[in-house]
Amino acid sequence: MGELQRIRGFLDSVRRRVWFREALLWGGVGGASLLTVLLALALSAARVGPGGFWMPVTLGAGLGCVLVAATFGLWRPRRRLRTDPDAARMLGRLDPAWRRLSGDILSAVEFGEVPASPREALSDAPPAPPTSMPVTSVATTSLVLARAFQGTVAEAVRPFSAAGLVSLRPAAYGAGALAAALALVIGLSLTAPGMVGRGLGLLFHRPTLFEGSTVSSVPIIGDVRLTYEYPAYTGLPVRVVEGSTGDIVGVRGTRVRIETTPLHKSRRAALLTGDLGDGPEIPLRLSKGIMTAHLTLSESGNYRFWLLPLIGRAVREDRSHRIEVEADRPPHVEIQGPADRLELPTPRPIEVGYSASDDFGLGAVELVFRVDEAPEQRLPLKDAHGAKTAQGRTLWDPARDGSLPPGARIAYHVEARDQDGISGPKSGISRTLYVSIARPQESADDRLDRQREILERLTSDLADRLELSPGATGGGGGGQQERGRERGRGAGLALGLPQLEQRQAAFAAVHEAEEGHITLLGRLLDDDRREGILGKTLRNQLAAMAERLGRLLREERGILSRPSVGRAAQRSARQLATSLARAERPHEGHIAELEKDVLLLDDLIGRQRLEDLASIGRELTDSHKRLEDLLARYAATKDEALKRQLEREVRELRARIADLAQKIANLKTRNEVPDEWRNLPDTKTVAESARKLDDLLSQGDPGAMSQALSELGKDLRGLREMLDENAEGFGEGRFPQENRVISDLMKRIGDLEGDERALAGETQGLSDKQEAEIEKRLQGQMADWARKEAEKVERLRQALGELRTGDPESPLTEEVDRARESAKQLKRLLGERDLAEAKGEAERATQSLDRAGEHAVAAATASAARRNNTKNNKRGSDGSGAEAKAGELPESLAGARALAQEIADDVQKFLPRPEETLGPGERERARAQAERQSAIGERADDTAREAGRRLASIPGLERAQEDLRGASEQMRQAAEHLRKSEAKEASGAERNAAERLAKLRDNLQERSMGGGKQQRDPVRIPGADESSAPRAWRQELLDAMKEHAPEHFRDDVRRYYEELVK
Amino acid sequence: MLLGLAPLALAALASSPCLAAPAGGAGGAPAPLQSLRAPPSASAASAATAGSAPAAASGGNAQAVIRASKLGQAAEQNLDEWRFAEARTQIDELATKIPDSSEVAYLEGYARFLEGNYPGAVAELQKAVKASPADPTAREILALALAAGDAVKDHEEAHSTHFLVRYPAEDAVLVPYALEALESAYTALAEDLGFAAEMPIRIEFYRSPSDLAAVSSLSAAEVARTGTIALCKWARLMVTTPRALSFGYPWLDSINHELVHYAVSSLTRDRAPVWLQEGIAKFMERRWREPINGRLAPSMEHLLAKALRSGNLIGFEAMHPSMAKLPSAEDASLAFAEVATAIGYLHARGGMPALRATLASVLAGGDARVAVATAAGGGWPEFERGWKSYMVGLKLRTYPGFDLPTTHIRKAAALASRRKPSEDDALAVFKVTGPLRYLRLGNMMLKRNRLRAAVTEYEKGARVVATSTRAERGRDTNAAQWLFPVKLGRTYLALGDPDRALQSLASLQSAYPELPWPNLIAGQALLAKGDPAGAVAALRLSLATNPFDPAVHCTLADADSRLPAAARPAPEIIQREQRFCRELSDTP
Repeated sequence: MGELQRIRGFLDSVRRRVWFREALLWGGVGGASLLTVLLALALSAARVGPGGFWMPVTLGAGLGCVLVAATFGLWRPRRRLRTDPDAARMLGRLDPAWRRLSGDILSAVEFGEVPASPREALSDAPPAPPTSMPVTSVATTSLVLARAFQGTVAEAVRPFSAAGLVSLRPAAYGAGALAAALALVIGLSLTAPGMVGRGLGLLFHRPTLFEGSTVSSVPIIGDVRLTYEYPAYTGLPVRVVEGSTGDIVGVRGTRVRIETTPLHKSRRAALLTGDLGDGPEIPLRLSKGIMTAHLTLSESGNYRFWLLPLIGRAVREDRSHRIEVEADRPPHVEIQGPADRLELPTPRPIEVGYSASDDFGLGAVELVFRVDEAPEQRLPLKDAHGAKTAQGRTLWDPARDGSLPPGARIAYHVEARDQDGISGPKSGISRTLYVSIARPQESADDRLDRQREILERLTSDLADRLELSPGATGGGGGGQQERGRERGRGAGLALGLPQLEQRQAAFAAVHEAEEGHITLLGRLLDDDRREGILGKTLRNQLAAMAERLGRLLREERGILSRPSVGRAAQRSARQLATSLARAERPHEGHIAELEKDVLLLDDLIGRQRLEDLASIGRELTDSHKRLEDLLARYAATKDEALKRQLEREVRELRARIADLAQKIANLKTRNEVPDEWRNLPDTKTVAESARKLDDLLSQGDPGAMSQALSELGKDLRGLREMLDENAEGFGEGRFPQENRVISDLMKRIGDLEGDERALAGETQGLSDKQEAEIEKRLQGQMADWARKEAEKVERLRQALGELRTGDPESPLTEEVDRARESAKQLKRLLGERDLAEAKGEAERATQSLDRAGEHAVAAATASAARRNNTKNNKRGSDGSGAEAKAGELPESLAGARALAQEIADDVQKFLPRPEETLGPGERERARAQAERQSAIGERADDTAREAGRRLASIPGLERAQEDLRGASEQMRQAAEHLRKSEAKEASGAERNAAERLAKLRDNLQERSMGGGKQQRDPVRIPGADESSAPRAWRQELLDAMKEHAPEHFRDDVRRYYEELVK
Repeated sequence: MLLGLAPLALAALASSPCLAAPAGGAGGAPAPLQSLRAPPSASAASAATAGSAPAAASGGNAQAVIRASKLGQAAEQNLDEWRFAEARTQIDELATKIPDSSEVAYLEGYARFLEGNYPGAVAELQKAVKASPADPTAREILALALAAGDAVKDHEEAHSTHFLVRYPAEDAVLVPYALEALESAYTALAEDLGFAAEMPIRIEFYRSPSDLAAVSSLSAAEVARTGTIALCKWARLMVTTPRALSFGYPWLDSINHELVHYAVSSLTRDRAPVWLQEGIAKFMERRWREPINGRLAPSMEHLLAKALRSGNLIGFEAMHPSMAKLPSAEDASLAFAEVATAIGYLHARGGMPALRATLASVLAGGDARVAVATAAGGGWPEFERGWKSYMVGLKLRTYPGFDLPTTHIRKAAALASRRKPSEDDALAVFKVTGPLRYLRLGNMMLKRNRLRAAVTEYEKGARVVATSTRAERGRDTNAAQWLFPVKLGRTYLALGDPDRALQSLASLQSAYPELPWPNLIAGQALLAKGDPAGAVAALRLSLATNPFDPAVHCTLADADSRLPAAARPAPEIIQREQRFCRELSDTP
């Protein structure tokens, strides 16, 4: 390398160093400026708010800073130190001590590249670089000197470095400025982070129309016209609201057309949604001065009008308009069954009532049930087709898809779906009811076959005894036989010993055979005591029969086993004849008893057979009704599920018809029922009609099916009438006295019921007035009070909800469930302002919790005992948390109970005293009604006594007396309430009494028409036909069912209550 | 004419004669025809009808004008009087004169209705009603034609020389016996009264009394109240099948009773009063099976004997205008007995010529009483005196504790089931109280083939009946008088003791000819004793009451085949009985 290169290298390094220093300095200064400007702008933006100008300002300021920094830190140094001479000069300026040397360096670089010889210098001289001094002439300058000079200069700068010459200190100012600016930013960010942050954000935020508009404190639009187009599933018509405030209320999916007029000419308009216009902007179409927008409601919110005038800034409304999306509530579903927990001896159809309501319209209503742990099954009940309410009753046979095993437990509820096509259908579910099958099914035929076998045996015994009777020679006319009888009495005296012995042996054989048959009867009764199939009255009748015949057989055995009769070898013919004559005397009584029993048993069997057939007839017509309903629904919906159900039901119907045909054939074969009541239909026609319907189902033509179903219905009705007539006629013919008694009592009970209903009607009038008066008095206080009580009820429900009772089948759980139900009802009743009922419900909750507390204490005691035993056996093995929790249960129950009691007391205190709510005249009327009620009650008592006397022995009506007494008790309560001017309570009690009477009358009616309910008769909802009043009554019954009956009577008591709730 | 069974005399209760005879004043003319009829004896009425034509015309009722035309009126009258040939000629003539007129449609429809062509009648009458909706006559005949068509829509038909029978398929067993009896009666009536039918006489069997009510002008309630079982009206015999009654009923006598009405109505152009109609019908109803003998049924004999003793006879005046107006069923029955004996007296006086003369006189428009008295050879007072003496001379007897046979219509369900009547069914109409409980016990034993035990029970029952008073037995148990003997007879027979069976039934056969079982069991007993001829006679009587019991046919086939060759019926008759025996045994 030459000297000049060394000098140039030195200058390059100095130049770079200077550039670097300047860059640092101005970078720092620029950064500091930028930060400061940004901060200032951010603070300003935070104060001023969003604006469209912030971003350009910010960007401009930022760019300015950058440009300044770049100019001074990059461009200007480069420009100033563009050539070596510039660098050399700059050295002189950097340090005065270098001023001379810088001149030398300048000179040296100006000499440029010195050639090694002049020729070389002349020929090869490259064009002088721009930075080199022009070489005037190699010839005029000593090349040597120049080289030497350059060498000297090169030597002179060698010890120096650019770093030593160019200090970076000035760059520190830039860094300091930057640091200061950063400190400022950080400091402010820490002290007012929101402001700084928001300000910074605003600097780079593109403002919305909302933000970018000015707020108008005066109206900017005229009247608003809203047009609601509701979703199709709601079935609501288009609604137009003129002169609206602009508030929009509608169900999700509603399409709203908004029309209004801007008060100022505008070139653009929009709806700004969201509190801060943060929702979507909806453009408004402007046409002929009318602004129109469409929006579809999806969620609640609000909106404002935004207008861009022809001149000036956009304006928006100050106050927003409300958008409220109404909730489409899920359907509310109620279920009614014969009982919340129904236990049946055998599977039977159950009547299920349901009601469902929805705010916009219901879709399908289904019965959902689950047998034990099997998958859930669904049975369509109704397709409401958008109706707001749907209710109905159906007979549901849990065993329709197969037999139910003993002990099967079926949980069922009703589920209804709405038709929400926007958010998707929502379901409402009723509470769950349960039915369980207690015992194995024994068919009516089996039961009757056993009775029939006994009848055959007893008839055979009777025939044997008749043929053994003295003078029973098989003919001879009345007179002759009587004479024969007389001869026989004197009797055997004329017979020889062998004949007497033969006769005695025949006697013994008859006796023995009959004993065997009575044992058979006893076995049937024993079996029935376990299985409870015969029904109490029939069982009693058979038991009495067995008892009477057993007594006669014991007496006879006594005579037959006497020594004179028994030991043939030691007696004379005379002794034997005398003894036989002695045995024959009670024999006639025995025959009379057998005659009576045989006829009775024959009648009982005949009645059961005919009732069994009649019940199938009723079943068939019921099935037909179901089919009609299903077919109508299928025709309307063409729902394949319905078709499948139709097919299933038709198959079942056909099977049942076949069953009936078989039973009819058996009846004919067995000859059990006299011809008069054996007017049996030709089931072939009916079966053929059912088959035709089945065939048509597969073709799927509803019209033809409807016609076929109609024909089938006609056939089935005829069939049922015939079967009913047989059963009814048999009852009248064979149990005429019973029918007469029943008819007489039915009339009396009907009179009582009529009087009671009339009285209940009057009392209801009084009650309505009283309610109105109470309402009037409590007006103003009610809302606050009800709110407070509702809170208490909520607390109660919460407390009850938190209770953990363990076994779902335990009495404790049942009581707590009942209390929960009461609490639920309580909430409803308070909502409905039905305070009298609410008080009753609160009291019922209290009672349930009392009983639950008892059960809990008993359970805790038992648990403690078990724990002690466990400790003894296995010390310290467990002290589980579960037991600790069980120990806490009584306490929790007591807390809930206190709350329930408090609510009851509150209601009591809040309600005005009943006598204060009736005027003097009304109080007088109440007293008069009380007197009338007492008189009706006395008549009911008289009728109860008579029923006890006359109906006690009639199957199925043994409890009529108790029922009447129950009604009478209700009447007494009603009278008492009336005396206390408690009209509402009195009215309820009166209705209950009337319903009990109606129920009893229905039972009597059924009995008089041929007998009690059959095993396959549906289990009906008690009182469902009359009113809703029986809830209290049913509750009372269910409570009563919980009372412990003596062990011996437990089954009977249970069955009694089962019958009642049916 | 109608026939019931409560007792048989009740046949005339609520009756309207086959051919109403307004001139005679007894009974009432069939309502649909009354307004148009112009009987010869009521020429004034005829004139009034004719005279009313202009008025009708002025009222715009053209049809009335047309119908009032002599030809139409004559045709209608001929139809009313069952002179079908003349009516047909007139209708045809009218049809040529005024073809397609509603008058012709009406007359054609009416004629077809009387001929038994119900669909044809309905078609024509509908045309007439359409043309003249306000005309009640056409509407009423249309209603009757519709009802008649409906009642026989699934009936089958059988013919004989003079008769056409329409019957439900399940009643096929009735047909041969009915046709035999009717032809036999027809021959007798032709011989006795000179009766000849213009066209085959139709007899229609209906399944129930309600069907009978539907096709007649009687209401169902009237039919039920009066026990009406058969009618002769609109040129046909309308009969309820014996299947509809628990005991059956003397159905062959009944259809012949109606046939006599048919004959008398035809011979007098429906001018005989009710008492004469019923007297002749009752007197001659058994003519199909026996010569005229004037014998009364025991029930009538019993009532008439009592009335004669007490002097409480019912005067002929009291029978006017209808026997249905009599206060009780017993009175009606007595009235029947009286008119039957009155005709019996007439017959005793002058034989069949006297009856023919009477009918001829009535046809000529003479008063029935005068005609009867004249035929008997004197005036009415003499006839009355002679008749009473005749009754006394009959030495009628009473039957202590007699159970008057009543009509036991089976329940609707039993009819609907189309089950044939059975003995059990029949006995079940009685309430099982008092002695009848032994009947039931005996039946239970009998069903279980414990014959001796059954006898013991029946004998106990019979003893109780014998020792109890009527009041003690109660009304329902009066039947015990015959129930126990019947059952004992059956059981003795089963025990192989036909003599005792016959002994048990001896009194019943004569006292209760309306019951099928005494004759059936007697027939079986006689056959068992080797008396097939006696058996056949008894069995035929049983069959004439209830032909649905297979035992009758089985035993009859057996008895017929055991008859001596000379008396033995044709093999096809025996085969027929065997067939019925099989078929009825196989059906419920």
